[in-house]
Amino acid sequence: MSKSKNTDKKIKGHLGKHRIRLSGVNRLFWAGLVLLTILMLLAVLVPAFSPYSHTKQSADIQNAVSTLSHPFGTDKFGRDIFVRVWYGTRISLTVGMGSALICGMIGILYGSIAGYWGGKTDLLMMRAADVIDAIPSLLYVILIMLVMGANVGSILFGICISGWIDLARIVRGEVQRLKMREFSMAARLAGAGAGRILWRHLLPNAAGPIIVNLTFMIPKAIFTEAFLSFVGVGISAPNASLGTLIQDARSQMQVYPFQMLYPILVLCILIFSMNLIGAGLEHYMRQMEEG
Amino acid sequence: MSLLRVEDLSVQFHDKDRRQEAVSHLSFEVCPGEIVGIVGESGSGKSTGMHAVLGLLPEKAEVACERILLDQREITPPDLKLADRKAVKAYERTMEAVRGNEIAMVFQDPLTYLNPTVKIGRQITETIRAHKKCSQKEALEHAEELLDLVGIRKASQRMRQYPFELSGGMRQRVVIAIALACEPKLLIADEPTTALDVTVQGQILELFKKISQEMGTAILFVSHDLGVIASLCRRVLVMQAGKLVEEGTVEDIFYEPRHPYTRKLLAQASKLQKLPENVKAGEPLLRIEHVSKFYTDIGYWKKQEKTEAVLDVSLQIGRGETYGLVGESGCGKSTLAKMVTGLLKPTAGRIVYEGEKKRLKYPIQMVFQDPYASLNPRMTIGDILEEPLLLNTEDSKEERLRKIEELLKLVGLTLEDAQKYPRAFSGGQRQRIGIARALILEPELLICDEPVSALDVSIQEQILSLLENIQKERGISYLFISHDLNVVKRISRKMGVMYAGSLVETGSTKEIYSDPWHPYTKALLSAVLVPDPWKARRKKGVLHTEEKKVEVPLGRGCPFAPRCGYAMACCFTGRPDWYQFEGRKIACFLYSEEHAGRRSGSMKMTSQI
Repeated sequence: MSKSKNTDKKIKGHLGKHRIRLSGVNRLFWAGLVLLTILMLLAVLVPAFSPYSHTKQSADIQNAVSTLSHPFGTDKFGRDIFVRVWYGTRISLTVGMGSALICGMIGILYGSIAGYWGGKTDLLMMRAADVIDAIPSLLYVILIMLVMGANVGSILFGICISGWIDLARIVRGEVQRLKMREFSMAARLAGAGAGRILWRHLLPNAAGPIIVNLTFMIPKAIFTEAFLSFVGVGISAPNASLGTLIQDARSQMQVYPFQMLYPILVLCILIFSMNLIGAGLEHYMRQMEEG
Repeated sequence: MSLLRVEDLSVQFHDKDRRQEAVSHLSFEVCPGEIVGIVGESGSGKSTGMHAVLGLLPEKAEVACERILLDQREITPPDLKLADRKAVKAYERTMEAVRGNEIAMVFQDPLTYLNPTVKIGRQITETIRAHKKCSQKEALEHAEELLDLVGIRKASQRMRQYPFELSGGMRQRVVIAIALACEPKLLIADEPTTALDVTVQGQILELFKKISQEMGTAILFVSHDLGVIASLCRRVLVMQAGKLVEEGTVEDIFYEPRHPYTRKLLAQASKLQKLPENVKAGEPLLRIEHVSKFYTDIGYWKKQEKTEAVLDVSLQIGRGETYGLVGESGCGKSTLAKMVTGLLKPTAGRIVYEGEKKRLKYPIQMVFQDPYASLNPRMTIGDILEEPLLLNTEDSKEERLRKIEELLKLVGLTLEDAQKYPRAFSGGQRQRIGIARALILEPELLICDEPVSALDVSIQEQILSLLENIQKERGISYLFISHDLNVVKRISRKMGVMYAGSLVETGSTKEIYSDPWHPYTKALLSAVLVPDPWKARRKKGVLHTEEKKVEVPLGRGCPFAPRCGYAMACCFTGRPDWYQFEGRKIACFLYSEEHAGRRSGSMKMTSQI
């Protein structure tokens, strides 16, 4: 009886220590998550409930300054910038999350296969990846936009063509390192197949670098999209992403600077929140490895 | 008059809110030219204490010390909390002059100590020039002398080589040469032979003896190995959990230990000297027939190179028997183990397993060397143990749980432990879990690949007796692989000695230990250190100059011939056959008919060396 009590205490002590670590480290992570949640809510709710649409023009309120009914003012066609900014955030988030999801899946799968089977498979797969990676990813995006039209789908597709390669390399390296460890040999002796060893033994131990890489992939994709729209090959009018908004405002930058300021601010906060989450996770993972 | 005098040294580590006292109230002194041993288990604060003396501890360590005197000069570390910046800086400056010049240190792993990208010669001359004002040429000459002193021949040639070109023992010699570069008065050696093979260990210990005699350097020798301490040191300090528990001459400590902890340590070490109980072996369970494994380097540009990891090994293991396999690192023991389990496919030969569980994919299970790498850190103990059952049996959830509980109990753990992750356990406990995992499918043969090498002596004995009890209870067989001759002697009745991929001698453990026939076995056995200073001193210390890297002549000649003191002309031209005499088999030309002469059937073969 007394013995079991003792172990109870031990277990509790163990868990308690764990909790302290979780809350202490992740101020970065939580700050990023709160920011991101607010942005996401605004991006979903504002275009849905606003009385204005992001495309409707009205000639009588061109270039208006911020008022209560138009918090961010209106652009040169009299469109409400508030709605347009949050609509643009929607596109940015879709591109960011979507590309992280797709690239994540492809990268993990590709890297695992190459790393686990090694030898010729590895050689062929990684050289193929090198060839894909050798062409600048912007070129892919621009070409695909030309062929498939300027929409979210083609931007996503373009980013994903070569976006998974970094992650695949990381996963391959981790898998190669971990598969030589004794516990994966023990799993083979237990009769586990390649799938089970990868899924239960290798990938959970590689989770740290994978998750961190994924979270940093999101802001990168958002930035790529904004950049493309800014240089004019992104989302076509009248739809608007954050990048097109900034580009549109550029012509009147000296007269109406606020038209440019708002989308830039939102873009900054969005990328900042993602980076915070990534940094927080990275920190946490490193602590987990050490502890 | 003492050379080094440490009074009341305490070291504390702060880890968030926990404080941990690594060393508490340690006081000792070292006289000039003396060899003092510090012995204790891992975590007893031996190394931390030595680092504190040299001021090498990280900043989070809190060092408190009454006084440290080196040759009547004060080198007491200041209290970081109380002392001002100036005092700390002044201390740093004095220590920079002391380290290397007056106290030098030799670490455990020579490969991490030496810079892999810098040639040996430059590493030594740099040290010399950092402490002494002299020209490059003088430094080079001095370096050559030093290498000669530590027994490295062709010093000028060696100095142009990189660390990876040298063997482990040679590297450690280079490290010692660097440590001696400024003729320090005190040499602190922190487990300098632990990472080395036994035969090499013996040579390095001889070298330390020679240095102490010829140069009058005092040596503080830190080791967990009582055998090493017994053969080298004059005075011994025993440490336990940061405290100095006993101090005395080597004879006092080994023959009249007063403190219970010292007695416990000695008892454990001598337990390893005993032979195992007589277990009757059943019919053969595993037959390894002429098994070889070659690795071919994938070369894109140059010709493919073939390396022989294992060459033509045959052996047999009976039911309920423990077969010990010894050999130095890199001799192919682990490759053989992996081939037996089926993780690797042999290039030639076959492995016949007669067990009943042949239908399983891997009927032979394995206990791994490193308890920290063999358990998946992201799985609970329960999941780890359940995995083989899930994959190989149709058991229900309750049955699986019952089996897990039964095995945890067998290895001395409880069912509550099943919910914990591996990091909650110590090395010994992890190894128990590893054994439980290997046993859960009820294999008839278990491969133990150095299962106790990473553990402290006291834990080693626990694991070995656990293995013995399991064998008694379940009648399983072990193939026990180790580089540690004491451990193999302790657990196995039959054994084989491996050298450079092939078996050189097999037979009963008792016979091989009492009367080794093969020159290599003899070399191995004479290098074993017994925790007995008198016996150790009686062993004649031959100072070997340098050990050759093991070079296997491909398919030609006996692999041991280049190192063998009994080598004949035929040893270099052909591989010896197996010569069998009753229970013993040996691969050495000394026992061939041409050499030993034709004998009548009734004559008994004896050792030829």
